[in-house]
Amino acid sequence: MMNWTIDPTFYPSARLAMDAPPEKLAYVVAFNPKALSSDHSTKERGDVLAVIDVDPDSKSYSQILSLLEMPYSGDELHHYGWNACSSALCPNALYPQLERRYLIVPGLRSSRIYIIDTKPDPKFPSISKIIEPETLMKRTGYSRPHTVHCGPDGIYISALGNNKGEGPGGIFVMDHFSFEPLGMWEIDRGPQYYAYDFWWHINQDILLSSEWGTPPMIENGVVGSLLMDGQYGHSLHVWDLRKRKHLKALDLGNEYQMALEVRPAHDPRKLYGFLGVVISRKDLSASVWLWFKEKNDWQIKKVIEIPALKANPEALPSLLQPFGMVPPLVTDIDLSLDDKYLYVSCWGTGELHKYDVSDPFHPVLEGCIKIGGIVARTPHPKAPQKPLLGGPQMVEISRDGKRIYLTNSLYWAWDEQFYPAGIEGWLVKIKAESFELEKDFFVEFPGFRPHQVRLQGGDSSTDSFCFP
Amino acid sequence: MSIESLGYYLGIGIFHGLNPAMGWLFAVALALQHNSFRWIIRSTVALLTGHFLSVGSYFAFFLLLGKWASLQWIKWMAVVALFSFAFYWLVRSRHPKWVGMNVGVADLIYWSFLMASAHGAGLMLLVGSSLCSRSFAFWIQPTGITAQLFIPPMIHTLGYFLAVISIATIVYMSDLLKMLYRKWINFDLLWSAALFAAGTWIALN
Repeated sequence: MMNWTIDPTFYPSARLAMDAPPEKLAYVVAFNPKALSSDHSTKERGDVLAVIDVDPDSKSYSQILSLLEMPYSGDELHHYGWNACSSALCPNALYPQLERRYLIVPGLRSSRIYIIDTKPDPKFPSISKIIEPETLMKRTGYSRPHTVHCGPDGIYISALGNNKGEGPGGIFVMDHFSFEPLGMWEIDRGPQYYAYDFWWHINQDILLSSEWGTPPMIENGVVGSLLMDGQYGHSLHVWDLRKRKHLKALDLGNEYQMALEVRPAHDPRKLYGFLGVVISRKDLSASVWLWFKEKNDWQIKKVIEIPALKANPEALPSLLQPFGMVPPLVTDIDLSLDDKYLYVSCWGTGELHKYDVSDPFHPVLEGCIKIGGIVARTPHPKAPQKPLLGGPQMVEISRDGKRIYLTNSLYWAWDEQFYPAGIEGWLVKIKAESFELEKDFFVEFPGFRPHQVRLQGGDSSTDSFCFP
Repeated sequence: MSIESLGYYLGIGIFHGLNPAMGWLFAVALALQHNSFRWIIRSTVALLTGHFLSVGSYFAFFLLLGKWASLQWIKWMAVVALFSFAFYWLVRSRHPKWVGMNVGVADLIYWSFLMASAHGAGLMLLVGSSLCSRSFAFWIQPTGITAQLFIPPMIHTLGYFLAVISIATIVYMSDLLKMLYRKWINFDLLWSAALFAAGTWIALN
């Protein structure tokens, strides 16, 4: 608490954060699929937080340094974030004594939240506190915690469902210091019902939230009939961050299903951002949308469309066989800190696309990396004989924009549907400039499926900056 | 007014203005956000208004208290208040989000008033006033209740203004944030120390 100087990983602006030294460690959460699929007659192992050596000069480069196993099984660790970040330098609520130290790791299935301390030894983190599901549901009225963002006045976390496991989902706030859940964030939620991801234009006092579906629509896999009816989320919600009030719903139309990842420009002067949409029920394509403020009004527009590819039905899982096509399934997108490049994960076709978005209205496709995929099963250069399952999923860009990390698992019930043969977990690293896979970096997770990557000291989807 | 108390009020004002949590950083952020130097001026005026109102209310409270309570009482109340704020900023230094980032002049006045009040800024003025300090203030004090009420907070706010406007301008003009945030020190600790010192001074006099 009594630091004399500020945390060196806090930066006033994204521009300055790009000068940060390269990360040496990566944290990856991975869940144990056995704990979810078994009949629970035997106690299965818990999910893990893995620490990976990403320092090329180290002897243990590209190896797993430690696995911190959770004391419970079946949490399904998914997204997570830091307790504090550069938003602590926002002048309206300056917190010079915070430090980036704890990882706030929710179990998406169990609604349990682990507070994990990375300080005494960053290579061997430890659990310092557990928020039990009952406490979370009682205090906030929510369950299924998802996205974690470090705000200037507290830790904001989205949740897919309410305390009865239905809708509406929303956002709750957790105390910066005690890590106690404080309560529901919304004062007036308007028409918002589904929840998923969220972020903000911090200097505009604007929060944006996206839509997946309620827990029953998700937890046992995608429900084909709901998808074909256009029942999954297809709106982006604009909120007043200060008054905690819904301002406007930007509806994409129910052809577009599952509006997931929200990536606003990092420069607080820019009033736009990108939203990834998983699938179109018309032609199974995926899309990326640009929201922007024009004439004092928030609007949204499709700027990228990625078509589905023809495929031999025999090579497809039963869900996709009637279509004879493999959908791209854009399940994650990530924007570099200079707001110049957008990386788009196509989990279905096994591709990672790189777009130059210097002109956000007209993205230009600059490159494509193939790895995994439902049909393609493209191997990694380090093991060229081994077909890979799963595809580019959570993508994380280093602060300087030079390195990209990628994992392959989405969500247990959905993994089973789209990759019925099962997914062996892996993490790969990409050189951003030449846009190619790093040949000697291929980390496997035997028995586990990795999801989100967090880089030591911050990355391109953690910090918010109040200075341009 | 003696040169010592004049210097004291002005000096404490400058010290308050130096604290990034007291407004200059906010002025820089707003000017950068709007890409306009006018926002440095606009925010500084709003910030000093809020600061003056807060410091002035604290000062007036103790001054008017003098009509009913003895000097001894006021002295010990001020000491207790100073020590309480000092402990607070030592142990629980939080800066709540009273306003957002998309603010106008009224929000800034409100924010600055709350920040100065929560930091006990006005209490530090008592050291230099005849209410609590014999050492240098007794010789010549402004005469008349109005002068007593307004002059110290006004001189103080002038010091605050000079610090805020010059730091905000320099940082905005020369893109100094990069260097500054590396050299940043925890002002809450410094602030806490200043409150302790002020409390001790009054107690010993």
